[in-house]
Amino acid sequence: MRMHAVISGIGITPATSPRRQPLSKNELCRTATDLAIEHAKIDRATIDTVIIGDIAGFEASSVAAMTIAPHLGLKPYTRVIPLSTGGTTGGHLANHAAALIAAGLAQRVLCVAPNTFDGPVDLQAVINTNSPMIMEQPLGMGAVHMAAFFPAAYQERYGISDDDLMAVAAKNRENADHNPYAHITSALSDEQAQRMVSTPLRLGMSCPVSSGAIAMVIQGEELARKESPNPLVRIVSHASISDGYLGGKRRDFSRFEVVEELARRVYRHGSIVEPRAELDLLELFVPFSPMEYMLVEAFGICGPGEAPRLLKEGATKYGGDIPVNLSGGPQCANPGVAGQLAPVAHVALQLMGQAATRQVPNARRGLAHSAGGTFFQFHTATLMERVDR
Amino acid sequence: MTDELYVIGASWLKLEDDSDLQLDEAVFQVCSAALADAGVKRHQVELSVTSSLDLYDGRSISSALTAPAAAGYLNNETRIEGDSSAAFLTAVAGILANQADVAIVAAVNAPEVGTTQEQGIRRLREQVSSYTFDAHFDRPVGMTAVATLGMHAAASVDQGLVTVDQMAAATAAEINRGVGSGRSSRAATTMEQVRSAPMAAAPLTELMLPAETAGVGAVVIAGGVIGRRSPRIRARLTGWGSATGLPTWNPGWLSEPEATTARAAAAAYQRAGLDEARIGYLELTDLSPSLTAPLRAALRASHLPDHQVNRTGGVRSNHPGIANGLLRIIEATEALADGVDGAAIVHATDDLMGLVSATTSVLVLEAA
Repeated sequence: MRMHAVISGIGITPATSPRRQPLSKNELCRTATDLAIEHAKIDRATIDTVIIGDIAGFEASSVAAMTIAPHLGLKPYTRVIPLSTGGTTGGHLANHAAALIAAGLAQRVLCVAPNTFDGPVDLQAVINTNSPMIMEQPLGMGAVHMAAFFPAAYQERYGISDDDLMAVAAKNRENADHNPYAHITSALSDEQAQRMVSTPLRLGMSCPVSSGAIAMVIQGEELARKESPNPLVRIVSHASISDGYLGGKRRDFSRFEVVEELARRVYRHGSIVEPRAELDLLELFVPFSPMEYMLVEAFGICGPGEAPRLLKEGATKYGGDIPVNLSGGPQCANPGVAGQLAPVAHVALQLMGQAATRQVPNARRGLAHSAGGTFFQFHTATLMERVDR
Repeated sequence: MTDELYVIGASWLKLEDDSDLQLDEAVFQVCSAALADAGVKRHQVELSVTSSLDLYDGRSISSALTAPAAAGYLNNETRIEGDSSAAFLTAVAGILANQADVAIVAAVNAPEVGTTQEQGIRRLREQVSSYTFDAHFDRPVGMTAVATLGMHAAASVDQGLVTVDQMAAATAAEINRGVGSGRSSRAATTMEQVRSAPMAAAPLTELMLPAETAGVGAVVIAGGVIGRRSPRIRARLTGWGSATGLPTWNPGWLSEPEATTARAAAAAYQRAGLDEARIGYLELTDLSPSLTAPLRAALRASHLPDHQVNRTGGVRSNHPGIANGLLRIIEATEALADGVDGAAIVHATDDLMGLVSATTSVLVLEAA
């Protein structure tokens, strides 16, 4: 039976540093799952599919889904789908669940986004192995260096200052002060925030290495109408996109060209004509905060080079007409796959009127995004809307 | 909305020691061939699904390299870590959900070990398998995919369900059926040679284990009118089901591993409206000869004569790891093209942890 997919339950564990995390990966995922099922008020035994993400090359195991799934308390023989697309894994979890339900291949899906970074001693060295072996790695480029290409190009093109780049980071840390699940808040000292990482990226603009898990129950709308006590948040449109592997394919680092195309698709299917007027909030996966300017522009909220002005005018802050990353975004908590599902979770909670952070009054429609891969090759978008019961 | 699903194109590339292709080049070559087979241009593909594993590919987020080569450039894409039959069903979901009219599934099993010889590939797969098992309870006692197969075979022999001679004879027959098929990696053999091959996990000898190979495959799927009007329809997909097996702490994984298959088959046959009399052919993933009879029973295919099962030798002639499911689909479509009377059943399962927590898919393919 085909149905619209709605998000009916969300479970989030607080984020902390992997070194301070007292729970194992299995325990974290079980905790998040229990919270999501309790939130959705569904019978655990009715879940027919579980989708679990990982980034095997970063972790101390292969296909973690296979060892996590048995710890979730699901009925025997429940179908397990292990999904792995790097930094978009979390976004894909929700999108794939929506596709399965719309296709009639599942009715109640549990998405589990584990902590990803709790294994390696030197995570940065592990992440750097994602850098292409032929060109970038021999030149000494790691993930942070590749990330710095974008704000450097943006700064060069639009002539904005280092303070403008830090302003969006400061906005997100201030948002994180209201998010009980955040790892980094405005308590970060200015001295720490200003430490240069890779020009023009500073430590305060960069995501932390966090530990935490998120789970989500997504089910057919007709079922949720009977079972869920929560306002229904329908996934009305979703899409993903891949750029080329090597950095040279990006052509212009001052904009996310592929996200412009992704936005066209997700808006087309979601019948969005004027995104700034029709969306109530965005949660964007910006492990490096200046990316937020470029993504806001790519998603059509404003024209190229205009996003810093939007921030100065307050439009993308809490209380503005199009608030962005009220959760603080991955800059304030990045537990890997869980950090990638977090944008979907926070938008859905906002649309339910149950925001974990500051609530956008009467939020009805929002967009979540995830990104990853070499030079941010991969992106996903999930457009959600509250539907009347 | 459509329920009509067609396999409209396919291609398979067997990788050998002298294959002079980088990973993405191999994927691009195979996907291009599959699209040409389907009569579809790359820009018509709206969803690309890859099945691969980082640790086999020797790099993190290996789908970053392969997705653009698999028609994923500027396209919807995703990657499933498991047998490619699960990736196939992901593409099916995309079409049924109106996400795409045409989807491509690419399966990649090109282990970065500098060899395509069976023993070299198995060594890596066993290391990765160990790494897949739980770090606290299973790894320390040596659990790997092959170890689970050995335990099942030993239990089956101990219970009198099968003998070592029967397993050796069945293995030799399967290997010999595959010789000359073009995709087999093993030479003709005898029951005695199978019995006297190096012991892998008692009572299983190396020849009784799947013939580990390297390969890349692609299948193009289309829905509705687009599929129906394709120039060379290979098969119509009428049923599917999947289930995931039990973990190590539930002894059912060892005593009744075929229960997972039975559940997947029941769902697939119900969807297809299929009764066992209409089953005309079976591509079976029996990772050990001790599994053959129980799996065939679970698939309600015990009645099929042997020549209607794994006509090219199945996994004992060619087992390309997580790409196996796609190869079995291709083999089944080729059997249909050769005039199989009835439906072709594809049974595929991952062997990341052998029989433990394995996800099994069952597909019903019929001539269009």
